[in-house]
Amino acid sequence: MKKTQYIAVMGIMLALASALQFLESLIPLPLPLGVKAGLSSIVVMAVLAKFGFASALTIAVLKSCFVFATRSATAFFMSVSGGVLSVVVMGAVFAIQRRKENGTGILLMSALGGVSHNLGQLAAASVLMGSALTMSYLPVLVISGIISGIFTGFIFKLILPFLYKNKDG
Amino acid sequence: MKDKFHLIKPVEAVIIGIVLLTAFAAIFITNLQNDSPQTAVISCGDIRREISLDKDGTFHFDGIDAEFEVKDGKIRITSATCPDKICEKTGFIGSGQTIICVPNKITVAVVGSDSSIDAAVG
Repeated sequence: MKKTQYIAVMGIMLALASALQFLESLIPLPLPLGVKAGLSSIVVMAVLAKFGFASALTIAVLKSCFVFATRSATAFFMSVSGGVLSVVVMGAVFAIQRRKENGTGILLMSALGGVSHNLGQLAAASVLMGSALTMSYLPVLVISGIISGIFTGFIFKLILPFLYKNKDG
Repeated sequence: MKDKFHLIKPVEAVIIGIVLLTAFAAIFITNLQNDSPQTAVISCGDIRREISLDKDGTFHFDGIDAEFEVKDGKIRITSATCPDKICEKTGFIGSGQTIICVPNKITVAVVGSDSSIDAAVG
């Protein structure tokens, strides 16, 4: 893929991730702790599978910058710690499993990505609050991370055929 | 190069299952009911207030940007100034549970009067 093509696709991916994240924030779920489906992680997984770890990390960080621009520094800090940890974990699962013949387990990657996203946010919240009390949310956030990760994993599975459709695009 | 993908393998399902079960067990253990009189410890920065959950009513504290409602030995945040309202959605909490509002730096923890508060908070 040409460099200009790469830049254009990454721009589209970033816009898609930011838009999904924003739309999601407009739909309040009747769940505690602001639990969300994490639709933008589908985009992050697609970029990870297509362009690799560095590109996925770029999307995650820039997506958080969009959060900073539209919301607050607190929201940015929460978003970037969750996003970066999630990309690191999903990248590790992807890299480890790709060495084997059987390839990447989508649901394992996305579920661990969901859990690590929530753990990253929880760690950020603990730092912001200066209190370890936040850790009482740990079990609920682990469960919601797995469920939302499995949900986004299934959607990722659906878009996979299109990801490798073109030889160079 | 086309990478190979599969949805899930038994060993991966076991990993996810173990993590799920551990989390459910943790929730079960923390929610074990404590019948002793309960106290809510509300912290906001350096401010710290305690309310006994014996009496129903609504409360407001100077310097804390939220209102609290006590009912049937449980407590909730009824109005908060943050945009996400996550603390409000947490609803009523009882023994061993907590409400946390990150934007306003408010924490509410329900502890038994007989247990050491510092141990529960620290």
